[in-house]
Amino acid sequence: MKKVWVLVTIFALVASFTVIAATKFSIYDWWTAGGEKQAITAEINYFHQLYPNIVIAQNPVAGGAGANMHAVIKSLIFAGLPPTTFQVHAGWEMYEYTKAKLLDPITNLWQSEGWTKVFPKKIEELCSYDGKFYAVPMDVHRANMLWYNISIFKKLGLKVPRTFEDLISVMKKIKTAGYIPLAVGDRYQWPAAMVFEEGLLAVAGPKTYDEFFEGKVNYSNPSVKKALEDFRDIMENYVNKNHASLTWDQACGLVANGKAAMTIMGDWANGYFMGLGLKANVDYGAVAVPGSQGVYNIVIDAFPVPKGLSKVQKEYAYDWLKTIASVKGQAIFNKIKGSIPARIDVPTTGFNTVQVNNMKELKTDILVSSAVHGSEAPAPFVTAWENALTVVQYHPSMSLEQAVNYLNAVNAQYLTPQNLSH
Amino acid sequence: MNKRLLGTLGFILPSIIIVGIFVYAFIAWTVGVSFTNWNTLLPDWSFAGFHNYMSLFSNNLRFRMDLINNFTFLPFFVIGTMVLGFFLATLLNTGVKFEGFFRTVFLLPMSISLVVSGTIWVWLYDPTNGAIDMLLKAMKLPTINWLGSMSFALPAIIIATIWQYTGFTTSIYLAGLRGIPQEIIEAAKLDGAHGLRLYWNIIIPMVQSSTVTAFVLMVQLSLQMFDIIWVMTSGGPAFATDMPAVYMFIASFKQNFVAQGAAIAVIIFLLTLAVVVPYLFTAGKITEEEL
Repeated sequence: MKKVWVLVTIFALVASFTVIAATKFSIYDWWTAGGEKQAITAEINYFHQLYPNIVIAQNPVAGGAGANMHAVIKSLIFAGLPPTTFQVHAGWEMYEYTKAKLLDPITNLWQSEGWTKVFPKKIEELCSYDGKFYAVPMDVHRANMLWYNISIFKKLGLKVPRTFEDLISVMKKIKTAGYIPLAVGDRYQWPAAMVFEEGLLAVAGPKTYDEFFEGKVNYSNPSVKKALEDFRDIMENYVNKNHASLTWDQACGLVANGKAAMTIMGDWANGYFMGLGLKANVDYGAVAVPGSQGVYNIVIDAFPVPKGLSKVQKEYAYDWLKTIASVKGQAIFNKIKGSIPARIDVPTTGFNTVQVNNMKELKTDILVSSAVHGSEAPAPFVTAWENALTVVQYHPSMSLEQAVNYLNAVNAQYLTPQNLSH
Repeated sequence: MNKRLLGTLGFILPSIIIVGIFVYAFIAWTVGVSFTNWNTLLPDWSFAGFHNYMSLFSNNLRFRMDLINNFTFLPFFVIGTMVLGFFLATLLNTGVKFEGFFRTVFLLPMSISLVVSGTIWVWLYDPTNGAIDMLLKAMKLPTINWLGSMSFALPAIIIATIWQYTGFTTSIYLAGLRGIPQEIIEAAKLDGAHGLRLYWNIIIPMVQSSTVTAFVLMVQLSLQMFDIIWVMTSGGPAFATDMPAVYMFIASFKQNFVAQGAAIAVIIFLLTLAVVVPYLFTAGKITEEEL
């Protein structure tokens, strides 16, 4: 008899878990590092304040700039257990899901909430696919940023460079003075790829940049070739010796503790520095990567609604999207995260000087999107491209011509019209 | 049918079913997927023949590097863990004081998650303020940029994994050594076998089954090496430490080349089989002889 009761209890427990799972608001993200974790917690608390009756299950999956989380999401969707919503980079990373018909269009929500009036056109484009909206942007990050240690610059009497060439000559001076010119932490290859990407934007300009990722221009183009040459020069001569064993935040740490003078990183670095208690324009300075002034290389964290949600869950998802798209929701999250609101009508009060400046420039700059962060190009290409860049980076004996040929072959293999159709 | 057989079947059947589904059915599934065109997010079941295998073996720099790395790693790792393991087990078997303590010390690394020990080794290897670097400096030796150099990254990983798994081979050998009847050793000593000769002619042949077990486990481990590499270098710099298992993960989950990932998995599986199947035969033979 006792056994029967044990069985009944187990059954009841399992059943109740299933019921709870179906009525929970379950959200997946990859925000686990300092700064970003506090930001998502603050946003979720705000959501809880607005909708106290919704049970929230937050599921952060660390690592791989979202690669690990997407592996989880894909298996959940295939198993017919989609989460209520999940973090995705708008653009190609989201197109992957829409191409496979795994997301529900939310055009009606965009229209009824009047969002088409408050987000920049380029951001709208990245959140939509085939004429329909599929995601809501929570923030805008800027990838093409140079962060520098103000006291080192003062001590060495250096001016903030204005062109990419200037940047390299400043690196030379910093190296002679005994500091690390540029901190990089590319244990996971993408931060090194960012050095190339932002260099490409600065040297070749936004038009060639877009054409490059559309497969229309390759490394044989003189300005792309120059960007490649600079990239190899920087990685060989001006970065910290231990770059291969560090992560992006540890590299920012070298700038924070005065060992390195500069780093090229997206403005999540802003969140990292703020988290350390440092002050923008006092302890650390930030400018667009020299040569790319007037261009805003955006990375957007967005949230979509997966297919196959129950009616209740869909309502929850809509509530969440309305929350994060609201003026207050965008302000709460981005103030901590270091990024800026995707809405252009959020007041600047409470944001730090780097953010205020970026909020101004988002309205006037030419907008392009980052390939390293999955917006500008399809994932299979991005992985192959990042790896190919490490090959030319670690083979200094490879001539520039050989490197160009090798990299062109990778582009030709992955950036085919078929792979780029969407 | 007699009752006893029924009872036995009743006990074995659930595990047969579970193993059947979760091991063998999934192996079959993976083999099946490797012959499809599922190199997109959504399943594509159209038949691709050997395309995924051919694309790995022709003109795929990364996979070629992976195989070279894996077969460079393998002998160092296997011989390293086995020789060290045998040596430590012999020392422990001499009736040393605090044997239990030492045994724990040697076995401890094995109980640490590879992710944790990988992170620790990353700190140790740091070329600017790592412990190894400081040691080299103190000894007035040139420092090495371990994980950041094409030539030292793989040796660095070999050292870390040998450290992690030597405790395992030690315990296998210790069990083997304890299983040798004392009379045989005494008899050999009476016959004048001492020192190295005793080891070479008596002890090493007597622990042959431990050697085979350790060898197979270590080979199989080195063919599937993933976690520690993922944490320490994620295959870099420039594929210098990349291995098939790392590539399998990247291909399947980052690039959505599910069929290609499955093909890599099948290749790893076949390589492992090539070691394990002969082992099953020899293992059977040894027990028969011993009986």
